[in-house]
Amino acid sequence: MPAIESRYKGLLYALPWIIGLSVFTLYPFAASVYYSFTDFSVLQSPRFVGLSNFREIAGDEVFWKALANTFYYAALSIPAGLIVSLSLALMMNAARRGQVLYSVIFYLPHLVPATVTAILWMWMYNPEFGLLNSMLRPFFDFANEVRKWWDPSVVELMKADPKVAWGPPAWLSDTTWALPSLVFMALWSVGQNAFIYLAKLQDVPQEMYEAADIDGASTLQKIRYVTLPMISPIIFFNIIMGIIGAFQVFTEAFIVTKGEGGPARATTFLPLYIWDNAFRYFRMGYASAMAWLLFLIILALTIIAFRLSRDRVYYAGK
Amino acid sequence: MPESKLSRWLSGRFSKRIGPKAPVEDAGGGYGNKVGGGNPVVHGALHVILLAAGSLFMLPLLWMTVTSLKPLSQTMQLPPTWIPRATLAVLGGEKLIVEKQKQLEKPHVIAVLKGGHDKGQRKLLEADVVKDGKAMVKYTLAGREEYEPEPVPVEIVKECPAGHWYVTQWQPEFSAEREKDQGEKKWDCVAESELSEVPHVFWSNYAGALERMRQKDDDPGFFSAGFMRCLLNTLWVCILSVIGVTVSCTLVAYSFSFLNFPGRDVLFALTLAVMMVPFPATMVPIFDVFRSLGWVGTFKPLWVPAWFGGAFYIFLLRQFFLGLPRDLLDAARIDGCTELEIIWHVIVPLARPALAMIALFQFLGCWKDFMGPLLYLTDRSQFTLSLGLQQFQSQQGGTPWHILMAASMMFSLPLIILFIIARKTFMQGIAMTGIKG
Repeated sequence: MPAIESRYKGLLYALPWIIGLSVFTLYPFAASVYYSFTDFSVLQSPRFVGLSNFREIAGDEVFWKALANTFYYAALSIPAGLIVSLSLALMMNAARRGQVLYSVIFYLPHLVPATVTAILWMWMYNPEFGLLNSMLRPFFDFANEVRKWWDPSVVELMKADPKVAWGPPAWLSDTTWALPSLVFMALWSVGQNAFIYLAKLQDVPQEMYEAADIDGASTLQKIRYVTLPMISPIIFFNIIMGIIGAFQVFTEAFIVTKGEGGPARATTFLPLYIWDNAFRYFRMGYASAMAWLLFLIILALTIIAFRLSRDRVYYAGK
Repeated sequence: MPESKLSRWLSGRFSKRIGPKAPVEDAGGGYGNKVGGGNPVVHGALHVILLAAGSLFMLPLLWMTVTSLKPLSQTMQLPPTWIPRATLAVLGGEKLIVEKQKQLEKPHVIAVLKGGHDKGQRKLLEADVVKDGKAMVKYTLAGREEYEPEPVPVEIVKECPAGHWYVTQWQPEFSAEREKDQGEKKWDCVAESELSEVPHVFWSNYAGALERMRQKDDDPGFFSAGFMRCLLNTLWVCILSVIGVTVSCTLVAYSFSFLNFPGRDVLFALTLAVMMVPFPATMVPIFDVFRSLGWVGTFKPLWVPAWFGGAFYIFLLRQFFLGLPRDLLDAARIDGCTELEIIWHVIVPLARPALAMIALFQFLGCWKDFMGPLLYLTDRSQFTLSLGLQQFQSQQGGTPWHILMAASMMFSLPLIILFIIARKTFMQGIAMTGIKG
């Protein structure tokens, strides 16, 4: 009797999650598969259309542009984030004093809500009055002076057309720079990962470094052959989370571009385009089809990462 | 080897209660400097690089703070200044804070009109417009500027050579309505030498931010529209969702850790797996669910799901619960405690740090959330801060940077204060989220 009772009890206590999981994840997940084969808007119920959504995606230039942007963003932001956070953590770990202060400093930007981050960086990136260009302009002015001195014929050209003079880019409103600007903005919030690495670095047993010292290893060798292998599981974990995160980037890009996707769609990421289709054009079937492709891409990349990591990630005691 | 500050800090109050499974307890050992050696030069260089990187990270925050305390004209000053300053000038016999509107390129005069629609008013006119004591002047009729049909007699009261500044009395930033009530601003044209600058902090931008986020037809009550309304909405949603997450995840994690039921392990595996599902993949059907429930345009989609648990929090709590001494639970059972009593009297007191952590993370996530409010909130009176701020920014076209930065400061500061208060819980929480690796 008690056994049966405890069986129901367990289910009863897990019930909120069983409902939550089904209603807010499993059902939507399954439903979006179905929707991706339908023509569906909020106003009318889904109508089965077979593969036509996917056929349309294949010919949709904006989709391919958004996909390319998303890959480009991931390819820039994941390695850059890894390098910055890991080197900050390594330096903090090696610095004997001030670890608390440093970790707080690097963590603070992560606390700032994405809405604020976006607005703040729009102000930083402001082509005319932004802090960034105010700091860069003197360098460009100097370069222009050198150029005038080198080639006096430029002087007249510059007078006729101010665009001839070199100047800092317009960042978010420049098709080339808009996306890297967003990557740089994301790097600002990298402090959380730096802190995770720092915590893991402190778990590396001291004896390993002592052994390396006896073998005459240099600092760089110690990092390469002791530190990195020992923290490789968490690096790997963060790369996976980075992939999942980079393919879902939405808020910053949405706010910075006022939902328009940037100059000449330079920062239209896949989630943004999915959003547009679902909630602006009410093409929910089409949006679901793209969302599914997004999921499959993330899944594929994660599997590839797992494959590649097999020989490179060291799990102590496992 | 001296124990590092960080590890001492981490192995403080919180981790002592954490039990043997928590990783931070392992950090209790002695940690010194492992890489980089004891070389003071290397060490100094490290600190220089770290401080430089730290300043770089702080720069945007500092810039936000400084901008939020400047008057509008100073945000558009080149090169930018780091100290908010007030420009002072004598206007109508009074020394006042003024805004530099423009530097005159041509000679101007200030003249009193002796006829026409604006008879008796002072006007700033270009010097060569005035001929034989008469000038063609404009007047405003129903919001449109028109020229007077014929030249109006004027009396020149002041000459303003080129290079003088046209300045207006500075007034705190308020809504357009309030500005009208304050009447005509004082103005004058003065020489560069008559202007003086003193450091001055414009706290009024914050009051301006509270006021400017409301619109004309909004309810005039302080809490019923604008920033304060958004703040209350955000707090309401976040408090409900924090309570929901804490209660539901405790129950579910307890069940996963200590109770047996058919399918438990499959369910747990599923819980881990769904953490991988990207939000865009489920966004449309979830929206459809809430739409058919009639919840779009209410707060419910933002907090109700929290009452049904969250995969990551359940995972974290289960890890934590499994590290708790089982004997205590058995003892409580023998004493005849029901499961709820065990949770309340045994689990909750022991797991307080972990519960604080998930509550904190949920609060943070909810406070920052933008996509949820954007999806489900339709009415301005329901906007949360992140949505309200974004809407304000996009309507204003991004020009009143001082007000935007003041609002951004007020939106971010609660999180920073929370972080300072609960620093340890935060940092240990972050360190713990790395367990999975």
